[in-house]
Amino acid sequence: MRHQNTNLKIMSILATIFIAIVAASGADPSLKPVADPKPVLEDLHHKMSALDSVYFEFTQERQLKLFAEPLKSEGVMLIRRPDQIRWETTSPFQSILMGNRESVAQFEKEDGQWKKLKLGFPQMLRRVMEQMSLMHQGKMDALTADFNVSVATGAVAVVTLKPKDESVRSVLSSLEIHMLPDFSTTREVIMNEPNGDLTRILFREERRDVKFPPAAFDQNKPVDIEVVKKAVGRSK
Amino acid sequence: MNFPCSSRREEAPFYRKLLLRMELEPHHFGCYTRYVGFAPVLSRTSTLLLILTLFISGCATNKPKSIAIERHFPPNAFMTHRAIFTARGRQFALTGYLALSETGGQRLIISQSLGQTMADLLVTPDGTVHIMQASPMFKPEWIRKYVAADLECLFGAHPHKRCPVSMLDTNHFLIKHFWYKVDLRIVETKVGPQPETLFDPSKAQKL
Repeated sequence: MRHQNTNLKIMSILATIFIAIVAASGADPSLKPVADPKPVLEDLHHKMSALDSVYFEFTQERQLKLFAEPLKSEGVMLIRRPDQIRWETTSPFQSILMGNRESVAQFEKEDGQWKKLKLGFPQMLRRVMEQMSLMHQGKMDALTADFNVSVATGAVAVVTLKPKDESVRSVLSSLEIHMLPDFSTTREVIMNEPNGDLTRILFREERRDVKFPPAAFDQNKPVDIEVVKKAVGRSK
Repeated sequence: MNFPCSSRREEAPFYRKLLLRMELEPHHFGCYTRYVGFAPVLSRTSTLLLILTLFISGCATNKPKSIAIERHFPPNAFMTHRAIFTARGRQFALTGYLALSETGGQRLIISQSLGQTMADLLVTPDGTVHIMQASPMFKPEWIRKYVAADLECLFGAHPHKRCPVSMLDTNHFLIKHFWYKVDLRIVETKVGPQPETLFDPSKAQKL
C-alpha cells in the first residue's frame, strides 16, 4: 500500500514537471521551466503578503481566431486584504463585479444608474473572484486544489495554472500569469481556451498600498470609480 | 403572445381589439402615458376602458417606454452588445459580438463576464442555423431554438410578425418571452464588410 502511494506521488510529481515543460516550451522558448515550483511560489507569496492593497488599470483583449483584430475592453481592478476584489469594466460598457469570501455582486450601468443584478450561480462567480484575488496576492498554494500549478522563468516569470476539473477545462484550458522576472509585479494574465481563442489582460498603472474610499467594495452601493481614481492619485 | 409589461394583459381581449382598431401591434404597446395622446380619437368610454385596462394589467407603474421597433442596422457591420439575460428571476450579464453581412449572413458570439465563449452561432443567408460552439450554459438545442430565433427577430431580414421585441431606446431592446427575457444594448458598431470566413459554416463543431 505504502509502495503504491509512493509510486502515485512520484507519478504526480513527474506529471507536474512534464506539464510545466510542455507549458513553458509551448509559450516561449526562452522560458525555462522550474522543476520544483514550491520554493518560487513560497517566495512569491512572501513578497506579496506585505501588500495591503493594490490598484490596476487594465486592457482586456479577446483574441478570437476568427477576427484579425482583438476585441478590446478597458477597466480597473482593486484588491484589498484580506479578501476584497472589485473588477470594473469601464469601456465599451460599464459593469462592476465585486467579491469577497462571503459574497459576490454584479452591477450594470443603465441610463446612468448602477443596477444590481440578481445573480445566477453566485457561488461559481464568487469562487472565480476569490481565485483572482488569491492569484494577485501570490497565494498560489491555495489554488492547488483546483489547479495544477507550474512555473517558468526567463525574460518574464510565468505561473501557469491548469484546471483539474474537466468541466472547467471545457471552457478554460489554462491560465498564465506573466510577471516581472523577480515576481514583484503582475504584467498580464492570459486565459487560454480549448479552441485556441484567448483572453489577454494587460495590467498597467499599478498603485500599491493605496487607501481606497470606504464604499469602494460596497456590494449594495459602490462608490463611483472616479472617486476611487482620485483617492489613489489617478484622476485626470 | 408576448407583451412588454405583463402577461396578464392577455386576459383583456377587448383591449387587444382596441389596439387593432388603432392599428397598433399589442407588443409595441409600452406604457399608457405614451399612447394617451391617442385619446381624442377614441370615445370617452373607450378611453376610460383603455386606462382602466392598462391600470388593471399593471402597466400604470414606471415601466420603460417602448417605441416602435426600427431595424435600420447597417448591412455590413460588427457590433458589440451587452445583454442581461433573466430567467427564473436570476440574471446573467453577457457580451455579444455580432457580424452582419449584406448577403444576409449573421455570426453571433456570446461571451460571459470574464471572456470565455458561451455560444457561437452562424445563420447563413438561407436561414440555416449552424452551431459553431456551445457550452454547458448554452446547449446546442437552446442556441438553435431560442438564441437563433431572437437573433432573427432583432437583426434578421424577415423577422416573424409576432416577435416579442420592444425597442426601449435607440440601441436598447427588450426581448421578452414567457420564461426568459433579454435586455440588450448595442454598445459599439463598426460599419464595414466583415471577413468571409466568419460566414463559413464548414468549421462548425460536430454536435
